[in-house]
Amino acid sequence: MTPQRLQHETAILEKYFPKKYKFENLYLPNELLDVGVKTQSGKVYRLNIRLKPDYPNSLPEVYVVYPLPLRRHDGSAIDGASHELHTLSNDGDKIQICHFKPNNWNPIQSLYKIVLKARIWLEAYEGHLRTGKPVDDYLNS
Amino acid sequence: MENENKATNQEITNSLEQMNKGLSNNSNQLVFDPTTGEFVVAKPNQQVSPDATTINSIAQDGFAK
Repeated sequence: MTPQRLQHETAILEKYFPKKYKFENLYLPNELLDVGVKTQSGKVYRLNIRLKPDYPNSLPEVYVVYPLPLRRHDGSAIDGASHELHTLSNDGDKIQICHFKPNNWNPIQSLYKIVLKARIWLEAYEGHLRTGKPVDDYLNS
Repeated sequence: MENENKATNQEITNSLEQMNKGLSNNSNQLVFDPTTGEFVVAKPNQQVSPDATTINSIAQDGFAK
């Protein structure tokens, strides 16, 4: 992303998630935002939001990198793409989760909104752990 | 100090499920309060932080799958 865009994103993140994020590999093809979030239950997760070189024109990818493995209600590990759980992949080091629909993404959105989407996914995931209902029951597709 | 408006996971998922089924009456809003970093349930006419972000609209945007 450009330095101007970084300044814009940092200003928003500093307002809403002060001291809970850091950018890595800035201005390189593997640029990412590392952010720690706490759910309502008090559990802590770490997310990596991977930016493509043309960000914000393209939709970033969101990965849960801690804790791993993420488990289903039945105790089995989430092992890859799942429509029921709104996950896209699992390479062992991280689990990619769904967030913005591509059609709803545009450069006016921000990394802050992506973190909020991921926070909603995490609450839905914890709802799945609590009740056994699929994440899809909680998230509008 | 405990935030008395802090939503539980059950309140949030109930609200998300209602929205997902198109049954939400929007009488209570889920909002993200940046002063606490938590989701809260805001009742109608309740004062919320001016920096709070409404979660309902973000959730209703939909999620890819």
